[in-house]
Amino acid sequence: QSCKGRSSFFSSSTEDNVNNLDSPAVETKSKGPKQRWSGFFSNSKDSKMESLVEKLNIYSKNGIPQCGILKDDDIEESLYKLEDDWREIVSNAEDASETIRQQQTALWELVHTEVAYIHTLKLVTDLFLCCLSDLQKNSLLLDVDKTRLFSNIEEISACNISLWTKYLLPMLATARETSSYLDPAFLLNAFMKCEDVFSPYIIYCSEQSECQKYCREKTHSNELFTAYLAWCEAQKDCNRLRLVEMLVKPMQRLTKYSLLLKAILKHSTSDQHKSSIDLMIDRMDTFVNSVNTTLRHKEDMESLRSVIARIEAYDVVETKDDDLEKIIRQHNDLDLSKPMPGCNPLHKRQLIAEADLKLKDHNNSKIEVHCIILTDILLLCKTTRGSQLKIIRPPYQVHRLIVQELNRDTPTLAVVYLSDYSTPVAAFLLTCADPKTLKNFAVSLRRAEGLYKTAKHAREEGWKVEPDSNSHFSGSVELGETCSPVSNISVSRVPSVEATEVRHSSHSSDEALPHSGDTLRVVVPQHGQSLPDLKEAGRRWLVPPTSRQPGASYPPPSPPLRRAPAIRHNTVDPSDHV
Amino acid sequence: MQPLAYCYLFKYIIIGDTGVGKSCLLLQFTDKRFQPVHDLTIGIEIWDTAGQEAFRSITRSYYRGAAGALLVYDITRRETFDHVSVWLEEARQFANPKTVVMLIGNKADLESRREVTTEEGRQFALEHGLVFTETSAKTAKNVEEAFVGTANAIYTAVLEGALDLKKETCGVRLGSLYGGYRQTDPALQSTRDPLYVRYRDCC
Repeated sequence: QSCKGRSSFFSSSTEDNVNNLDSPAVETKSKGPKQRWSGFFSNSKDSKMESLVEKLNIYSKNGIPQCGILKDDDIEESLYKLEDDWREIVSNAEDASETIRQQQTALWELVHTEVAYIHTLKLVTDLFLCCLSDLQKNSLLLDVDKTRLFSNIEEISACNISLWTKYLLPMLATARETSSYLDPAFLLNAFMKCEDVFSPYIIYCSEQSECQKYCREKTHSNELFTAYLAWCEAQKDCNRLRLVEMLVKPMQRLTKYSLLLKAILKHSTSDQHKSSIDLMIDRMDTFVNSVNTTLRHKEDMESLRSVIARIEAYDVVETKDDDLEKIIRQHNDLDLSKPMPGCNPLHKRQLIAEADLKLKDHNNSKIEVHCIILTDILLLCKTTRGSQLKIIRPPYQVHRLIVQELNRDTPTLAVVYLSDYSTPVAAFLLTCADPKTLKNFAVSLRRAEGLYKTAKHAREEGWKVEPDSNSHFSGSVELGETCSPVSNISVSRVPSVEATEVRHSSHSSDEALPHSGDTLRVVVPQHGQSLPDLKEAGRRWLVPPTSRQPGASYPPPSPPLRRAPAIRHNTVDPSDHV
Repeated sequence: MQPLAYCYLFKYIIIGDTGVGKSCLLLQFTDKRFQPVHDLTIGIEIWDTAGQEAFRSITRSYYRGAAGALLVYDITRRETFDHVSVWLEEARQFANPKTVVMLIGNKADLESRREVTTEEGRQFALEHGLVFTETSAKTAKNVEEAFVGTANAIYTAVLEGALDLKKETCGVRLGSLYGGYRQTDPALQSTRDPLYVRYRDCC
């Protein structure tokens, strides 16, 4: 690399002559060594940019040296030789009954969209990834981490090519040979084993938002990367799609299979077909649900981590006695990453809600507090100058809180905390100018109570909870043994029951909570069809075994939970989140 | 100068509970307007989330970069209206904060089974700064208006500079497009994405 240094040095020393002619840098130059240094810098980058552009030009002329995974020309060709319509394959297609016509159309939709999807995947692997690999071989863009950008897209590509080769293509080939209808029976094995067939999707989907973020960061911070991306995206095959848009496709494709199968089912008449398609849909929904659950857990962990990162101190007990103070200080620590009391450690604490309210109790006439509801506790915090949080009251376990709405001008909640012996130990008022905030807060408290109860209950009844993806911290490793692998769980039909989104479903509360009329007058709406049942949610359904690829580490090792550095999650523009 | 270089493409998503008629709305809308879009000048790219409501952590990937969201509930099923705030929260959290959200009470033809009054819908929309309308995918009442109204709101936002086109997440893209596609079976409506619809000529 000394050569590069020299050429940079060269150009920066000759700069003066050159710049006098036409450079906009004229006014900023000749400011001494500093300017020289930055000139050195940008020049060395320029030479990198030059080699990048040169490389890209070579690719434009000669193509990218292939590192693509699809080596089989026949299969490759099959992806380009698809008829426009099933009617071109079937003889006497016009005689088909309406039902058959629709069933074939639905099957064709699966075939057709799968091919389009594989083309997109191949574009990512054969264009974007190959290009980057080759550039890196030439010592360009070495700072770009391929895995962080593309995750396991090659495995995704491989698994869909195998779906095509092993199942869809034979269905097509048979139909072509015999000029007869596409037979959905060919799909049976693919979707019955979908946990295996689609297993790389678990990793891919859970890393997707990180990949998106990484891609955006690199675009902003690295102009060589931007140039690389621009060149790739300008290729005709991309059809003006951006890389980030292509990278998100697998997530979206995964949810489509059961829709496609449902459309096929709707128009299938044979009982045998119907029952096997039914089974396929069932399996697929279960699998997608497990992917969804994995993602949700990850999100939950992240929000909890962000709460932990924001909590700066536990400052609850005051004393004027120095000795006492010393002892207190030794214990001023609340570790939220520890298991919830009375629960299986695999049941993770979650962030349920946060609210800015005013607190009034015997100590204070009125102070602003930031309230955090976690599954098992309510925390009252003060915001410190650095927008961190200081816990100013002991953690209140949610199931011991009596919460009652008061009929006052300012919306007010009366809160009484009971001891183990059901006697009051603390009491305070929470107010907020906005009645809705307070109402939502109360609803969230009840929801937390329900979830906590369910979690404790789960332990008592010995329900099996899933080995959480983060189970290797906080001493829960041993418990992993008690968890059955997922394949033996039977999850009932109707995906929406298990496909639960707890955090955002504040309205779908809870049969689990006994209503004691004297506490709270909050109307809890009925269950909706598509919002989850919390009882199920709390139970944490099992996730299918993630088949691990050698070398790939999944789940990603989780950073230690306590006082972790603030994660970006919280500070970014919400639109950048997905 | 190439006129196509000035064309806009708005990205929409359709969200709401299962069975409120998301795909049917889309079908009704595109029935009238669908045409190949090579000559499109202002286009709408519509992402249907029907059938995927349960997999929310996965479908959040759709929100990114949506300039418009049609949040649909069913006026004959109160719970679908009760969940509107949850969907809205989700849209606000995961889409662009400037995303234009239109609240749509669908199945307005079923007046006798109505469980949510027009006033309630309007009130909710007012409180949350949403555009509101009631539609019937069956009779096509207001369907066109819902899609076009949202497009107009986005277009206004673009003209006023409220939507920053330089941000890749703003949900508006410049440039011409490739082909469009429509499925006539509502069950298959959401299996290909996105759907491109011509909105109007701007240049």
